[in-house]
Amino acid sequence: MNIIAYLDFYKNELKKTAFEVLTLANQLKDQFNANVVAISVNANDTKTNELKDYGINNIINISSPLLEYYSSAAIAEALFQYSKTFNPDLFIFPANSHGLELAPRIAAKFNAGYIADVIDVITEGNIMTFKKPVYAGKSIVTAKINSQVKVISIRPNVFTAKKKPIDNLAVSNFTPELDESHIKAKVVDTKKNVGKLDVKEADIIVSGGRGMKSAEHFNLIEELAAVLGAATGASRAVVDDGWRPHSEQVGQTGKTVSPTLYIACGISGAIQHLAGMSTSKYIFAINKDKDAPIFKVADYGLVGDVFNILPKLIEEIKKIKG
Amino acid sequence: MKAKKKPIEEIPAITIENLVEITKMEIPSRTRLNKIFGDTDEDIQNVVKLLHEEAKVI
Repeated sequence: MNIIAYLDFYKNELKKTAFEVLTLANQLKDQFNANVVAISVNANDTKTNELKDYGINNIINISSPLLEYYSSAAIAEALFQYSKTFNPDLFIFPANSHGLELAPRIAAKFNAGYIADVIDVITEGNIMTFKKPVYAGKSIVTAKINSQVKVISIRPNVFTAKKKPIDNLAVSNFTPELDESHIKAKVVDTKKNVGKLDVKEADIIVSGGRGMKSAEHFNLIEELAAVLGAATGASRAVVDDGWRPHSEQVGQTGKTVSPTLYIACGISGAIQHLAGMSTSKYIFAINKDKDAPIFKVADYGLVGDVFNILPKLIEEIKKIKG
Repeated sequence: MKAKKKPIEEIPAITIENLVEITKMEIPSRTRLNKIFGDTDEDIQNVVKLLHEEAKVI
């Protein structure tokens, strides 16, 4: 079996999902005695060296000046061109914004079956099946891919990255034959959220809902997030009201997250919100309504006024953090 | 009446390859701890202790 692990590694920013994709690829490599190639795009040696700890010794760096700015169509074409020499049976992408764009393009190019947002891979003999949440997380389906080439994207923060250091890391460049016609949409400007953790990849998320009452009160959410080294999130209601940016929105129409700890402050727990965070490992809810649906999915909860609880909670956590 | 006379063209459905097949559907088995407290100082300390010592997440 030949496996391509796509590392979300664009412009030398190594995302945490890269290690998760590698960990799964490694696991399958051992089970199926597979050949694994990890793919990066326009990465430099310093960064690729960081991958040495994750057991994959063959990295192909797709290198092209046309890929200076992200283009899913062009990267998919480059991957397709490389694949002709490697004959992959399985592609693994992260189910983040880049992976969710690239994976279906690759599936279409190979007429392959594609399963998005995979949370578990089950292997029995030579058969692989994949689990993914459906119906806003209320149900889990197990599915198999019938085509020879299989494409999956894995939900971030679900496959815990495990280190497996190796001695030799071979990085080769692959120069695809690309021209302007492959750039279907061109990125003309990028703005980065400096110093802010992406909710999609954070281990801990502190989210606020309408119970925070105004945009100004989110300083409490930010303070708690800062103490925990967490990302800040928000429910749709507060994003719609313009209190928080859309990049922080968690839920069916925002981002789907799976952190180790999700802290919901003043969030009632509408089904659309739960759809985006119900696979979190631990959920801690603070709400003044004891009947709020969020408590039905919570591991820990405090029933009371967030404005009374949060400052005390921050102090208690500070004591533990020393 | 015009609608009744409107001819309905029948076209054969295309057959598509079943690339992905669902083999099982289940309700998530993960049960939550559901440890819900009030808002006293003691409750807050208790939750922080549980997050630190039981869940080991902070």
